Amino acid sequence: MKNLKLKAARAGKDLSQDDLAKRCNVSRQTISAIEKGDYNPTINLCIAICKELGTTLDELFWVE
Amino acid sequence: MTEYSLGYVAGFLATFIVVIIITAWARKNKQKCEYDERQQLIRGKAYKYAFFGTFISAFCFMALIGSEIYPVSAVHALFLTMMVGLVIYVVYSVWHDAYFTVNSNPSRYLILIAVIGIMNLFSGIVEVRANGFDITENSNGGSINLYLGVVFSILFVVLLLKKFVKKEDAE
Repeated sequence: MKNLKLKAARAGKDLSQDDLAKRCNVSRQTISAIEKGDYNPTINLCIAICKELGTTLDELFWVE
Repeated sequence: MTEYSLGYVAGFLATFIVVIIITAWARKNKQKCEYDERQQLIRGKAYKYAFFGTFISAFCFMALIGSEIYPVSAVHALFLTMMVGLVIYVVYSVWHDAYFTVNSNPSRYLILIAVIGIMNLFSGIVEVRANGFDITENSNGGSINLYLGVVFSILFVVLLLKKFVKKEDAE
């Protein structure tokens, strides 16, 4: 399932996938896979992404 | 120990020493070889598929050794089995962006891989032209360099294809 919230939050901070990946110490392809819904990140990576984007886990990763 | 065996041992030792030197240099310059969690997962799967591929190809070659269909020599059977496992691992890892570390640039290695592939292919073709490609027992044909050349060529093609796919995949 695509994670459009993540994509929107990243765009809101004017960050490319590569920028966010470097800040979270992962590869660009991992961020791309998360956004496409091809990969479910661990809680540690979720927290790292949320910290970089200044959001909460619920806002980015909760599924309605 | 024959000259042939000594050659293998010398080659292995030389590679081992070079790897130690490069590792020591990388540690001194604080260069880390890091794979992220997704890459580690993919690499685990790649190792699994390579294991099964190696197992199946070993079984197939074992069936051929000493057979009347095509009695492959044990040395070639061993190398070909290893190459099958290697190709499976490398192709799967490269295709899923888990072969190179987080901070590395795969494009840098394209030329190096192409050069190594071409050198081995050339060496292999020269050897096969001289001795033929009879890899049965008690024959002198075939070439390990040719197998390596094919492996590196496959790696080069996969990397090149991946580069084109990556352009379409980019945001």
